[in-house]
Amino acid sequence: MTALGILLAMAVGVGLMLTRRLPTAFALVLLSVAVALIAGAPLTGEEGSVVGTVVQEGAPRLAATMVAILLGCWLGTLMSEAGIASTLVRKIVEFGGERPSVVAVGVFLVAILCGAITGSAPAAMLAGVVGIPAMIAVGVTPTVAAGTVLVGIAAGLPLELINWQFLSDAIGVPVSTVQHFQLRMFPIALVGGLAYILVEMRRKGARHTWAVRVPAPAGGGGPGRPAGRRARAAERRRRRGDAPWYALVTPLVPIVLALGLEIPIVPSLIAGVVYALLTAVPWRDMTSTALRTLYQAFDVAAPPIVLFIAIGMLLAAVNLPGAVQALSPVVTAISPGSPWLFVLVFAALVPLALYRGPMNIFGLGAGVAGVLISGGIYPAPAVLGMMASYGQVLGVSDPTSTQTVWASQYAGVRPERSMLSTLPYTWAVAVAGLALTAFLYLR
Amino acid sequence: MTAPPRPGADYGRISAASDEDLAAELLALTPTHEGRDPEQLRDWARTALAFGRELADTARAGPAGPGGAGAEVTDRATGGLRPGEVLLAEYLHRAAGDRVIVYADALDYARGVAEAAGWGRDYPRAALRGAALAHEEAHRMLHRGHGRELRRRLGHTALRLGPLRVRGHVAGADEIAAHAYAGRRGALRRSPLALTAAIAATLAHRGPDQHGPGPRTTSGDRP
Repeated sequence: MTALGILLAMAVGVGLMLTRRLPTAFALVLLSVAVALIAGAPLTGEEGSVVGTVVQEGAPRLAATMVAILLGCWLGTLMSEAGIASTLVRKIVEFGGERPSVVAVGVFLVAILCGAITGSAPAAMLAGVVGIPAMIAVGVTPTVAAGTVLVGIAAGLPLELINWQFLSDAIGVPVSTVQHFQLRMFPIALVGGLAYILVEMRRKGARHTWAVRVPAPAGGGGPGRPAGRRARAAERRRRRGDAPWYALVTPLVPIVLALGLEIPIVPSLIAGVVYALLTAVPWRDMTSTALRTLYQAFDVAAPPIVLFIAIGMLLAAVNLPGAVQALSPVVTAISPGSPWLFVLVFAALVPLALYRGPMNIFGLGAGVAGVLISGGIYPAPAVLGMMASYGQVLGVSDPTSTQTVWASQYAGVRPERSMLSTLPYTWAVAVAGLALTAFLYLR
Repeated sequence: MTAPPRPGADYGRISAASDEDLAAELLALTPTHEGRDPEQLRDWARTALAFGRELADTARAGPAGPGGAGAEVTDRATGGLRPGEVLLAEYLHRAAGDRVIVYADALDYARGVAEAAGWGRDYPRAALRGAALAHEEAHRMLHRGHGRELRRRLGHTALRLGPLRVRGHVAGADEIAAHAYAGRRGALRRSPLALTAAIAATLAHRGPDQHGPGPRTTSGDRP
């Protein structure tokens, strides 16, 4: 009966998110409280209570991820302000402009770097503000232009330090375990992204138009920033011109430090910020630029931080003894035991990661992952692999994901069209990820 | 988006501007040219205009008329007026064959803009369709090899390593050449660039697209 109540509450939560009656973060907080109450948790008290365990201990549960997000957003804002991403795209267009496929692959590589730094909508903007119209200008169709940026960001996701920290915190595995899986997931996402670009470019061909569009605002209309600030940032970029060549490797700095030298995530990101400041910003502007971009980063980081506070509460709620006891038999009954069935069943459930569905790790999926682990149904690394595989689908094809909405609309196509264009490829990538998970952790 | 707004002051400015001015403005709005030296852009605009006209003169001596030479031409009544965009014609190059699509509703919108600007006689309906076909014909020619010659003439150096020089692509130059080609081959009495600038002025006058890429899109939320 308790399990049924929790599942009903979860269904209502999905409904609230899907119909957009409540923002995801608010819906998750309400859901956390509801799950805890249904599971029999007392309202107050030190151990296993709604106020003490779910709200007080759950809210800062993903604190390390939140700090990483802020630093990643700071680095992304600096890369935008210093013109690092736009310089990369401009060079790609100059070198490959007559061959739309070459330009698309180049923007894809830039999007991987941007995705590896911040992920989500800020990464889409970094790569897409110049990259999407530049691709359209050389003949890439708008749908493929948007899809190219999205598959690029998703291919960068396995290298994104913030994502490592999040999966480590949310699933409860060491960062080294996340790194072990994601480094093996990266080539799969890379091949999937390249396949999307090359096959879709061949299918859709090149497109040139006599078309007139509303002139884009200075700075490309990046969301979340007032027009005056955008215009001033664009003017500063114009005065400085292209970023110097040695500044263009900025996105690689944190990745190389974390991967090659095994430096922890936060210092690696700080090193990236310092490198960008030293190489792309004039000495006299350095401190003012550092402070201004840091404050702007708070704007950009606010929505994901709010979401992660809510996810922390949900994880605390589904890990309460009452919830684990109630949900474990249900989840055990429907979860396949053999590795083959694991791949088949969870491959069939891929659509549940879309539209903020129950397999979305940045929503209810975090709760599902918590139940799968706390109930001892799968080892934690297997749940990590499953959620990382689903992450490839929802990061590209979910028409409610902010980066999908932004990239699609910026290219002038509906997000649903982006979903239809990319889903066959992301689904295949997810299936390959699930197979990798079964091979690594379920044999 | 049926009746275009009337940004009168813009029409006057566009009317007084030369093709070179308008082409340089169009290039400046093309992504990757932000912050580029205006004189450099003007120089490229001049070269691209001359190239497009020369291409038209060469094609005039050839066998096929605008829009012909193997591309399948389709006329569509609707689909040219999109949120924040007026799409007059498009050229699709696919393995299955080349295709040119002309949108009647967008041509009507363009006619309305021309009438509002007082240029109605300069852009007759049939000539406008011919210019749209010629524009896409130019894109087709540029896509099939003439683009390299345009790049050579633009002479933009993307990379120089000692004696080695790599020529760079100038985004938007093909569009300028296509306008010049259409202007030379079609029966318009005024440049397609002027009409393009006037349509852009109506869109800017209308304000930001309510459905387009949005400052209202929330930022930063995770997937």
